Amino acid sequence: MYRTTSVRQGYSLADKLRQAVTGGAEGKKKGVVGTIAVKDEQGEDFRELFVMPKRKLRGQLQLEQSTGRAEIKQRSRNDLNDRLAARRPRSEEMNPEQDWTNVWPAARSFSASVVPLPVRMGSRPNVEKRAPFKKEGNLELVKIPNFLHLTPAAIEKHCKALQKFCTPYPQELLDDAKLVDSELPVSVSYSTYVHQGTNIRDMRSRVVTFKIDVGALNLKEKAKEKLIRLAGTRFDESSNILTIITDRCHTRKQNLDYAYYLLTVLYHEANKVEAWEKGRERLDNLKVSFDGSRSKEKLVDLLSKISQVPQLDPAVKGEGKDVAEHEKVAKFAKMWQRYRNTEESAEATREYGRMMKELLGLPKNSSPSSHP
Amino acid sequence: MFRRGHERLFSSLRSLSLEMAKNSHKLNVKPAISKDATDVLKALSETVGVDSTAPHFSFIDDPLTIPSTANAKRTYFMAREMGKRAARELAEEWPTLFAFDRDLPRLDVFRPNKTLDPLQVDPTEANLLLMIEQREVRDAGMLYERMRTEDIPVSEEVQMKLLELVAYYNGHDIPFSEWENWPGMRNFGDDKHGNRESWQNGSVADMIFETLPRNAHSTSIMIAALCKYPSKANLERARNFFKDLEKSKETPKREAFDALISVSSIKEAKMLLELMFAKKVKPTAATWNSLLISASKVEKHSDRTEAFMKILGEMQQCGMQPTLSAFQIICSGFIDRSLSSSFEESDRDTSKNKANNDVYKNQLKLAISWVSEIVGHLEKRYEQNQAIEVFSSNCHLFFVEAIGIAYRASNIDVARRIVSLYESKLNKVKMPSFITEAQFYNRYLQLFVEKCDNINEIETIYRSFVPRHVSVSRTLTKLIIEKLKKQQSWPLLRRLIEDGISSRQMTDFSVSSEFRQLLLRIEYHTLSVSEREEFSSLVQRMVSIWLEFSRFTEDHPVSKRLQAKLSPQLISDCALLLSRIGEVEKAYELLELILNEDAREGDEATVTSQGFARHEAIAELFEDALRQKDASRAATCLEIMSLNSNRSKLEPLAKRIHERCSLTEAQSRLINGFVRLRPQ
Repeated sequence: MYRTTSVRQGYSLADKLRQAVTGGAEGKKKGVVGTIAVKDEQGEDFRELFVMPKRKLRGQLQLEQSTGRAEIKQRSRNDLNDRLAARRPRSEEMNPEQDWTNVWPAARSFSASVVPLPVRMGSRPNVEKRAPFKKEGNLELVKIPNFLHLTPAAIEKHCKALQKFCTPYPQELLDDAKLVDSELPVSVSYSTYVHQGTNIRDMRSRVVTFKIDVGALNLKEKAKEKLIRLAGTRFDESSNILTIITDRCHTRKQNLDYAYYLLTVLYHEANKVEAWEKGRERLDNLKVSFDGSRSKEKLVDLLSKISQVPQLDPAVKGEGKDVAEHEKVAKFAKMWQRYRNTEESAEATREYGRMMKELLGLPKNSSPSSHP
Repeated sequence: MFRRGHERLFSSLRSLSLEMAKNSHKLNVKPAISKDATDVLKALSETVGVDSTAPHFSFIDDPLTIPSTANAKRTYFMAREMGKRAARELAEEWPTLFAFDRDLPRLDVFRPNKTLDPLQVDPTEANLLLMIEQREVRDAGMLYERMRTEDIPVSEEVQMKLLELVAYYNGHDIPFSEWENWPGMRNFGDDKHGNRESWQNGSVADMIFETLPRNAHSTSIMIAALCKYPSKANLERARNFFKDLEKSKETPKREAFDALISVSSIKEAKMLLELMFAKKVKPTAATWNSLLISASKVEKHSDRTEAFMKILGEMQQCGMQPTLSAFQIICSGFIDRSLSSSFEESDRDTSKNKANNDVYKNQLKLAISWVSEIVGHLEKRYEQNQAIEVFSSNCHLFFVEAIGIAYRASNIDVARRIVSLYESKLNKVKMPSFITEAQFYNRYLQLFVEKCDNINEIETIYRSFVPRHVSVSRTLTKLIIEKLKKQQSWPLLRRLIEDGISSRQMTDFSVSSEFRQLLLRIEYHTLSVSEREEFSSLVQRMVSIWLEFSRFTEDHPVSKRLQAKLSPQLISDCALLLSRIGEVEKAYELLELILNEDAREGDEATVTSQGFARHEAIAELFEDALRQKDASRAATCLEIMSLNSNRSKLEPLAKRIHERCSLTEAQSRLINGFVRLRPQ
C-alpha cells in the first residue's frame, strides 16, 4: 500500500462538490488568513503602538462563545482516567432472584447505587407536574433511617438463628394469660439504647422500673396501710400496684438491686409494729370511716327519734344499738364511706340522697314534671 | 452491719420471688440456655451470605470508589490504610488533643503511646523487656548496648529473650510481612531492606551469645537463626554448634533440629530425625514440614516423589495429620522448576523441545493426580466435620499451588473442588484478598472460561467474579474476547467493554480494536429496543472517550503523556458504528478528520498519520451514501479510499456515484478530475 500525496488547498472533494452547486464558499470552513508584513520606507518592520494586550478578556470571550461568534475550544481534562474508572451502579446488575439480606445485612445509610428500587423523595411545589427527586444524589434519602435490613425475610432468618438460644414459653401462660398476675407479680422494665457514636454508654439505660402487685405480699391490713403510707405516690390504689423507679446508681444492675432492697425494706418496715403506733387515733386513719363518725351518731339518733313518731314510716325501726347494727344502716355506711373517700361526683351525691331518703322513709322523687 | 443485714434480707426476698415462679406448680419455666457474649453475634453473622455484586468490604460501596484493576485496588487500600496510620501518628504525637474524648470502651489501639527512645529512656531491665515484647529489635539492641556500657546488670532470662529476638530477626526491625495491625503494609510492603540478607557477624546477637553461658537453649537459638540465613559459612557454623552440643551431651531444642533439617539434604535430614527420636525430642508439624522442604530439594523427580511419599507414610505412622503448608510444599515440588518456568502458557504448545514437553506433561499428570488425592483427603476431613486450621503463614499458598496445577492441567473438575474446599465454612485458612486470593480466583475464572462452551454461564461467573475477586486484566479480557468471537452475547460484551473503560483499556491499541470489531459484528437490528439504546449510548460514550484522549494537545507533560491520537482505522470503525446507530452527521464529522491536514500535523494534531482507514468500513459507508443518493458523503468516502487506492480501483466507484447520484455537470467534472489525478 502506498499513500498518495495530493496538493490540498484546505478543501475536500465534498466541499468542492458543494461549492459547485451553490457557487459560493459555503463549504469552506476556514479561510487561510495571510499575514501581511508591513514595512516602512526604510524597510523596517512596522511596530504597533502598545495600548493594551491583544488577547481578549475572559468576559469578552464568554460573550462571544455564548452568542455563537467564537468557537468553543474543547480541552480534555487531566482527570479523565479517574472519571472513566467510575463503574455502572451495581443495582443494575443485580439478579431479581437474589437474596436481599445478603446485600443489605445490617443497618447502613441509603445508597442509590445499591438499592434497585426507583424510590423518590423530597418536596416540590407542584407534585402533580413534577415528581419528587430521584434517588441518585438525593440527600433526603440518606438522612432518614431506612429499614432495608429489617425486611421480613431478614427477620425470619434472624429468628431462626436465635431460636437455639430460646426456651419454650410456658404453655400454662399461653393457656391462661391471667396467671401472669398471680404467679409472676414482679415486673422489671428498662430500656437499652443503641446508637452510633464514640461512646457505647447511655445514661438513660441505667433507669429501672420495678412493679409489684402488693396483694402478692400477703400483708395484713395494718401492714398494707403502713406500706402504702411509706410508698406515698408510688402506690396506685386502683390497680394495687407498687412502682419503684430507681436511677440513683451508675449501672442498671445496681439500680435493680437497689429496687429489690427498697422493696425488702418496705416489706419489713410495714410488718413492724412500733410502740408509738399504739397511740394511733381515728384521725390518723388513711380513710374516713363511718364507725365513730358524727354522722353515724346523728343518723342513729335521728332514726331512733323517727321510729317513735307514728306518722312516719322509716326503713329502720328501733333504738340505739338496734338501729346502728341494722342491715340497711350498714349498707348506708358502705355508701357513706365510698362517698367520703372518693372524689365527689354528681352520681355519688344523688346516690347519697336516694339512700338517705330510703333510710328515713321519705317519698322518692316523682318523675320531673314538664314545665309549661 | 446494718447494710449487710439488709442485703441479706432483700436477697432472700428476691430469691423468694424467683423461687415462687420456679416452684409454682402452675408454671413450668425452663432454665435459660447458657451462651457466651459473642454467641448471638456469631449466630446472626451466619445468616449473611455472599453478595455477588458487592466490592470487597474494605472499599466504599459506591460506583466511584469500586476499583476495577489490581493497581487501583492496591492504591485505594493503601490510601485508606495510610490515612489511618496518619491519624494514629497524630494521636501518638499529640495525645493531649484527645485527652477529653469520652469514647467507651477506651481501646488502646486508638490511644497509641510513643515508642520508647533507646537513647533517652531509663536504661532499666523493665524498659528492655517492654521493647522485647513490642518486638522493637533495633531499639532493644541499642538499649542493651547502652546498658552494657553503663554497667547496668541484665538478668540472664532477659538476655535469653533478647537473644531469641535479635537472632531471629538478624538485628533488623521486623519485616513488613509480620506487621500485625496493618494489612496493607503486610501484603504490599516492599521488604527489600528486610532481613533476608546475609547474617551480620559480630552483631548484638553474637555479643549476647558470647556473654551468656553456653547451654542447649542459647545454642539452639543460634543454630535456628543461622539456618534462617543459609549461606555456606553460616551452615557450617550452625553445624559446629550442633556438634558442640552433642559433645557436651546436651539435647538441642526442637527448633534447632527443625532448622537444620530444612537446610540439609534428605539423607542428612533423615539422620537428624533419627537423632531426634534417639534423644526423645518430639517432632511437631513444623519438623515434618522441614523434612518435606528438605525432600523438595532432591534433584531427580522420581526420587523426590518417593521421598514425599515416604515422609507422608511416616507421618501417618506417627499419627500426624499433614498441615496445609505441608501440602503446599509437596505441590510446589512436583514439577521441576526449570520445566514449569519454560512451559508457561504460550510456550507450552510451541516448544520445540519435545522431550522436555513430554517430561513436563508426565510430571503435570502426576501432580494433578496428587492434588486430586490431597483434595479428596481434605474433603474427607470436612465430612468428619474437622476444620482446616492455620498452622503457618504459608498454609494459604496451598490453594494457589493446587489451582495453579489444575489450571496448567486444564482440569476444571479438580479446580471446582479446590474452590469449594476453600469457600467451605470449615476452612479457616484465608488468602490475602488482593494478592493470592485474586490470583487464585483469576486462575479458576480463566480455566472456567477456557473450558466452558456456554456463553451465558461464562457471563454469570464473570459478573460474579469481576471486579469482586478478580481484577480486570488484559489477559482475561482477551480470553473473553476470543469466546465472544465464537458466540455473541450482547450483555457480556457490554459488561466487558464497560470493564475495559473503567480499567484504562480504551487506550490499549489491541484491546480497543478488538472491542470495535466485536461491536461491528453485532447485528443491530437483532437487538431488542432496550439493548439498542444501550448499544447506542455505549458507542457514543466510546467515541467521546477516544476523542477526549486525542484532544490532550496542550504543551504540558501530563497532557502529552495522556494523549492517544486517533488512528484512521479507529476513525473509520467509529464512523461506521455511529452511522449504524443513526448518528450519520457525527460519523462524517469524524471521517473528515482523516482528510483534515490540521488535525494530522502540528502540535495540535489529534490524528496520527500512520495507518489507513479500514477499507470494509469505508466501503459500507460509501454504499450507505449511495443508497441515500448523497454525493457529498460518497465523495468523502471516495477521497478517503483514494489515500491508499490507485486510479483503477477508484474509477468504478466514481462511476457508481455518477449512476446513483444526480450530479451537476460541474460536480461530475470534479469527480472525474479527482480520479484522473490519482496515480495508476
